[in-house]
Amino acid sequence: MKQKIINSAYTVVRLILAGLFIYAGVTKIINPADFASDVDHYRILPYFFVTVVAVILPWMEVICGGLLLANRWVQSSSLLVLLMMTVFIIAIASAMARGLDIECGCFASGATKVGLPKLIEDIVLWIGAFFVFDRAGRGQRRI
Amino acid sequence: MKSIFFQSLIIIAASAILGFSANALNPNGVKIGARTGPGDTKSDTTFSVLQDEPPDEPLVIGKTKIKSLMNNDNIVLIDARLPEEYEQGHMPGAVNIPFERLGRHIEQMDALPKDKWLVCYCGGPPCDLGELLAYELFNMGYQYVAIYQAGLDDWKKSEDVEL
Repeated sequence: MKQKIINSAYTVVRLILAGLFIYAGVTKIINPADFASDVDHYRILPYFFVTVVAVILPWMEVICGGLLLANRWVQSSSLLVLLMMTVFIIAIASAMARGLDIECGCFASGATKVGLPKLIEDIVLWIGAFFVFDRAGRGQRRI
Repeated sequence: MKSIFFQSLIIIAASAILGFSANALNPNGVKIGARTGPGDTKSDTTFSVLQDEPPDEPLVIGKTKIKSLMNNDNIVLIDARLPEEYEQGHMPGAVNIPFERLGRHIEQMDALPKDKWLVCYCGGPPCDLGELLAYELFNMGYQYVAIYQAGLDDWKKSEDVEL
């Protein structure tokens, strides 16, 4: 029974992460210039890397989301999601620490400001990604 | 473990290939590593000439027009970047209202003159802080608001400018 609940939770979390990452990636792919501007506002990376991130990251989100959705390469895609979430959390915490009042750039169409709610949201997603990574690693699902 | 590493590398490589290809074909794509954009290529004549009647929205203006306004003391230059960037160099006489910390500058924004052009700028494209600040001021009721979109990078290119 317990195993069944865990397996169901695994599937639900995997699909939620898949949907969120595909949506987040697609909205950014449509307008990389806007996303580059959002990344630049964090004042963390030199501009060269801002543009590289703006070009590559959305596709990584879509591919990882697609793989999670298809239940293929789940451990590697959830590992990358975990890494991306770690970077997002550090970036948001750093922006908050510096008192920056900026758009988070998480979803291109949304105008969510960097702040505690966004930080908590990302931490919850990080926990979800870790759960999927961990379960996939235990061989509970074909990867 | 090894397969996870290789699969991750494949995902990253595929993202890079797709990303750079799609960006090259996308009209809204970014130019890798270069802070260039529409603001750099537009000449002053492309922009609306500053007029006596207040415009319907913040105007995009260029260096020549700014110099002319400066000569007539008819301008307040507003640097929309962070204070630490402002300290490292800014346009002559510019005040600093960092868009990313607007909440701390409400009083300063309220005290801006209504009878002068408020020209907001940032480092240069694609930085849009100047534009965002300009629209914020315009929405606050300031009618003579303009954006120096080409920004500080463009200003520094002039031989006869001071910083």
